[in-house]
Amino acid sequence: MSNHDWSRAMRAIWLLNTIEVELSHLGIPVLRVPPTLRDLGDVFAQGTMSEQDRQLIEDELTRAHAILAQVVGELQEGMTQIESLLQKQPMTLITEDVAESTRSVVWQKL
Amino acid sequence: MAEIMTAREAVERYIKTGTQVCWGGFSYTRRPFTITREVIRQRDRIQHHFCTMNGGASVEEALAANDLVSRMETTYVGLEGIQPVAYSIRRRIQDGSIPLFEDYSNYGYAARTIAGRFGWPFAPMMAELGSDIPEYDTFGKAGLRGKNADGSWIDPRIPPKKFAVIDDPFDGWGLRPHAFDGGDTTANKTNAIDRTRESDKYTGNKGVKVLLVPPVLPEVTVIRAQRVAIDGTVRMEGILGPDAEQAMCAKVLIVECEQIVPSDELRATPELNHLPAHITTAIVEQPFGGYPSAVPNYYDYDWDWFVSYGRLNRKSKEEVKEWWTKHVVDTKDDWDYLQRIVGMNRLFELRATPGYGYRADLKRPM
Repeated sequence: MSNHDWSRAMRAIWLLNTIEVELSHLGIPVLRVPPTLRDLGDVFAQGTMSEQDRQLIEDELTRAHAILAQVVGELQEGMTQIESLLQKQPMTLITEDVAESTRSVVWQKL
Repeated sequence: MAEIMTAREAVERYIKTGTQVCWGGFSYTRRPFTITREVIRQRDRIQHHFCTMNGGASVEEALAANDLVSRMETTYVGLEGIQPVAYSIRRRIQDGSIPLFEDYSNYGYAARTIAGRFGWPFAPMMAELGSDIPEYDTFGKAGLRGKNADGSWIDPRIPPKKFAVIDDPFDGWGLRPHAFDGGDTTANKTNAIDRTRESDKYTGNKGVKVLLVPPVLPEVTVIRAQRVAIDGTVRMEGILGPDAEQAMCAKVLIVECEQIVPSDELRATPELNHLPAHITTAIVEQPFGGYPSAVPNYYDYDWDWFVSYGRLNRKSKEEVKEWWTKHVVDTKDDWDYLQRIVGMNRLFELRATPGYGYRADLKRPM
């Protein structure tokens, strides 16, 4: 392979490596999500909070859900493309960059 | 090993009448207001303390407004950027109820914390030279510096000198732009190095002078962090100011935080941590406790609070103190203050916009 092609290949590999490293760091807080949300469920179930407080928390959960859903969607697209490469199948997905306006907040700051 | 406790317990245990407390944060950022408010709640017990900090200074103003400051060692003071006059402090200096006020430049104070952090006997700098700050020595005039006849320190918390000036043993070599041709840099022109060579002020000798500052060695330092591990490891986000340094200078470190997390969460990226576990004495968890200052990535500062407090701050000592009584002293704890006085709606309005670290649409009219 030429130097140029190796550079292109390594650009993809280092990108995936960066994601792996970042996800491994993120993994520890992610593990805490289910039990922490179960705790929050208990607070909801007690029914001691005002409607206003409940609405504040629900707004935060809605926002978090939207951001996570978008990130998961973008990662899912990357996984599908990796699978295509491994199976040596022709790319069937649109390979254009995700438009700035539709990127998750996580990517927008980049 | 760090101990998790409430703000009330931390203040009761570590802050007594006259204790030297170094308050953390910088400008509008990460001010430790949970402990500040708890000290105000306990003002009848504490009465007064020795306030040390890199100024700003909403915390200092709040403490002074409650007549809790008897000695102050600080830098610039004002209600952060919004009101460049610290009325509560100024009034009390003018009427003598803060009898001892010692002044350093922000850089000079930061150099003192660096000396303290690394265990240096002093730190060299040039910033105060050429200003009149070295001419004033309030603690010295009050007879608080140096030793008694029996060899003990008059006040072991106060260095025997405010500054010392020596001839630079390297004759200014370290200030010269050796790596570059083409003359002095702007910094060296500002330092007027050639003129200082011609002056014999301070030491009686011609040549470059260096000003030495003693370390800051407070009894207690209080800082605010976003995350503290259950073992006491501390991670701050956003501008740091001298917090890591002054935390390591203290005998006792109280860290208030947004959340206590498992140690593994901070160990995964240890290079992002600022303080090791063994430095921390007490951990106090209080979400939104930095209010009204900002905690990057969590919530912004409350501009409206600073504007309205700035107006109040111009009123009499009695009126300002009464405001603190009504809004803080009469609350049970910080959750009571945050829910009942501030309101959760307001706090959620200040939540940081993800990706920015601050509230992107917060109105900040100047």
